[in-house]
Amino acid sequence: MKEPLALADSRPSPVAAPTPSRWEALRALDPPLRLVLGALLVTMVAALYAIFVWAPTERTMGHVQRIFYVHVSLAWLSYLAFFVVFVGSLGYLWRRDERWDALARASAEIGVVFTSLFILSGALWGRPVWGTWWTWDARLTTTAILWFIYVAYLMLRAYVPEVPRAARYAAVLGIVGFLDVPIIHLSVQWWRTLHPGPTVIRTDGPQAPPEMVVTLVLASLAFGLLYLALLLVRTRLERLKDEVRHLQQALSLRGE
Amino acid sequence: MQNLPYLFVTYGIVFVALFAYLVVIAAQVRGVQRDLDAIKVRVDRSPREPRGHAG
Repeated sequence: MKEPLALADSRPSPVAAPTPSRWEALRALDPPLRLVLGALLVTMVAALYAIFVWAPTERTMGHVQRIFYVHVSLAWLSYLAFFVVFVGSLGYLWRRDERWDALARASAEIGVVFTSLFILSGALWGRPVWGTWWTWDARLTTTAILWFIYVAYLMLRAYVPEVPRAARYAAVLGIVGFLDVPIIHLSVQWWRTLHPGPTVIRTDGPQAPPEMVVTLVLASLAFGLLYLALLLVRTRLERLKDEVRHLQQALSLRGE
Repeated sequence: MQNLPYLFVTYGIVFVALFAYLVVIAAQVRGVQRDLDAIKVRVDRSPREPRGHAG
């Protein structure tokens, strides 16, 4: 995935600034990042307390139902991540500004990580409850398609050598690929599925006890802050890569 | 209670994976920052072409 950044002369220079340590570099990236990380820490501790201590135990499934909080939160945040890819892709095609593309690239990778984890958490929940790790149910199949679409997006970014062309192709894929998200959401209404329908976001109100709804909101807020922190760092990383690429091009034009 | 391992394995995998992802990103940032510092030094040292040079 990483773009080739090797330089012809990568010997350390006596005038170069000392390389910061891993955590110093992370902290120095963006001033709001520390604020987000602080809020994330507090919210995540509160969410874990609510999940494991405060929320009631579901009568039929027992304690394993607590996977619901991480599974649904990661699913919602994945959809948000791919919506940001959609917006970033539209912005790039409209403005041809690399900042939109950097935002889309960063959010796509985080979305794939979150999607992988919510598929995995779903399998680990499905095994004791449904008796199977996986079934080709409409909700699960459309989710698997979503995962493949955005893995293809990342592969496109990695293997098309010309960056503007890769950005253009990926932007189209990022826009078209997002169409799968409403299909996933509506799949439980359109087809008969093993996966249950929505229990929280419903026109007639949530069908879960208030403690479960509050716990889910808290968990979603915690994972939302995690997404925001990751997005800030990943977008900055993409901007740094762009800067390196432009400087390398400038040097090659000078004949170095 | 017999399904508790599924619960703890799920949360364990999610948090370990997210932490590992954060570590990978931090390492990438460090590497790119190092490359950027090195290339900036090269750009500063590189002689610029004189203006109005007809070739």
